[in-house]
Amino acid sequence: MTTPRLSVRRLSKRFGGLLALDGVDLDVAPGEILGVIGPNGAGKTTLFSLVAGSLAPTSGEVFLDGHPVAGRPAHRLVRGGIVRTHQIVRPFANLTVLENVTVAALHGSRRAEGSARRRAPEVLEFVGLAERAGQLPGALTLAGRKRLELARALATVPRVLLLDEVIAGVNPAEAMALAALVRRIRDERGTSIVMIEHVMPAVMSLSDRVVVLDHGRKIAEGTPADVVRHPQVVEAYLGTSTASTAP
Amino acid sequence: MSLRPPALVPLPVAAAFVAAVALLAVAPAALGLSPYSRNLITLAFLLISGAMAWNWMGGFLGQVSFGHAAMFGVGGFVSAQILLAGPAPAPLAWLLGGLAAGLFSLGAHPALRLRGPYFSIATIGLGEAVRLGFTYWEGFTGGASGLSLPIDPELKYRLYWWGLGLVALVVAATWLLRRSTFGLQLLAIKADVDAAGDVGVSATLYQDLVFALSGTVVGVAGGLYASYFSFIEPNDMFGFDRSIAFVLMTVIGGVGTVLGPVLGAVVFVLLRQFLLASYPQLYLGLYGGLLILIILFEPLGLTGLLQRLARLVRGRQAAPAAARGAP
Repeated sequence: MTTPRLSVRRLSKRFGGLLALDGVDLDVAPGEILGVIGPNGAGKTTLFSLVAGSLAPTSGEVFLDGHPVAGRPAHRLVRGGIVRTHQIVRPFANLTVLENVTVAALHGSRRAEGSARRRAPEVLEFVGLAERAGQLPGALTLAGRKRLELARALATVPRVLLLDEVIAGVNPAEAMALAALVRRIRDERGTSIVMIEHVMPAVMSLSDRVVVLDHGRKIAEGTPADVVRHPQVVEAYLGTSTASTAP
Repeated sequence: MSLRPPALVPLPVAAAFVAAVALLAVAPAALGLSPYSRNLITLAFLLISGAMAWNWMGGFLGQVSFGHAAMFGVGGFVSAQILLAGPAPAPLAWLLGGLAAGLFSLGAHPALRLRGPYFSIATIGLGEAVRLGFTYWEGFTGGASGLSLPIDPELKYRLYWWGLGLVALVVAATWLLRRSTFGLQLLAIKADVDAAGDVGVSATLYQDLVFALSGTVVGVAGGLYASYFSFIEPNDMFGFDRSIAFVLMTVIGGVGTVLGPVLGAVVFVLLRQFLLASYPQLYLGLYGGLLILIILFEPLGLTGLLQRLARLVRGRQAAPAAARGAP
């Protein structure tokens, strides 16, 4: 078997008395889209924060192309090729859309590939924000700001892209467009994508595989169709049915 | 494509800059400035340089320091000691004073982990600790009685142009800083330090770098100040008033703008000069009032006010044109 692009082994994070993430393992192949689902508080965003370097893990290891990278700060992981987006979009409000992306384009894993000032407009074109280049992020709709968040991450030329609910919260038409954009990122750039998402149709149609987290543990893993039928997954989302326990 | 980045230094800006520096360079001879006015302008040059360097931290990076007097003092006393120790050329002493101040500012590295008001409060504490430390270090600063430098009228005369040179250098550096990708990253850190890290900006590195650069310039200004007054004492050089002055000048002029600190420093020097003589009790109150007005109504200070006026004038010109265009 080839080396996975990203491997997570026994990854745990403790906040005081709370074990937010409890020995999670997962692998992402080159060019794969892995969906991460789970109820609120399952540890999905914590997982991203650990992999992207925003938080240091309590224990466990993260491998990028087989090299251990856990515990490195976020800005160094970006250079290695791991970049995340945020559930609540965080544009630099005082910079124009183009400048937002330029800042990101200055860093990243394949810097030689054209200068930052050239790459930024290309990325804006790709996500469909080229006409908004000179505006401030505040002038964009929520969907626009999600595209900007994506553009900023893409400008670093990531090898692994961690998307934290890029589709949730926008209208259905926008959601379809954003889902298509995520698929294009994988198809045209070969980027490995891990996406946390609550919009089930999007997760089910985009993901090659899905991992389900609950209370910090991985409770299921498999193809989207298998995972939704998994009894523990049904229980995590809907609770136990009293009817089914009856004889 | 319309997405081409603007030139780093557009020609009109470069021309205006060169013209302004040239005019100021010949002004003392051409206008026959009295020594009093020339000295006042020299002092303004030093304060402008300091305020602009403060603005790199407070305006671009968003780390409001209330402790920049520490670097001003270190620069001043190190260059004074070098000048007292032997026949070193004054510019070399100023430069070494500046470098010492830049290095000294890196001592604040742990404080740079703090953001916003927490950072500001830490700098107040650090600034006061430095002031007390140097006041008690009598061997170096002469304690409360200070240090006297040999008076050199020739040098004091030439200080005008040294000060002008420093301002020109700092203005050019500020412009480049604001327009370069380096400046963009500073503004990104100011907006959201974590999000900046998430796209690869090393906030720690840039903050240290800018703090050291800012400290160096303020230190050089302190060195020139020591030569200007020929007498310095720690409570003045390291005083909290001085740290506040850097903040005031920049806030009055326009935080985060390129030329705001220039306006702010000129207004500050003029106000102080006229008010200190006639109303010594009143002038601090006036600054306080001005500061409140600016923060409440025009966060970009005088620069914001000028921009507003410019828009008004342009709007008036545009309105008749639009009326004529109507059928």
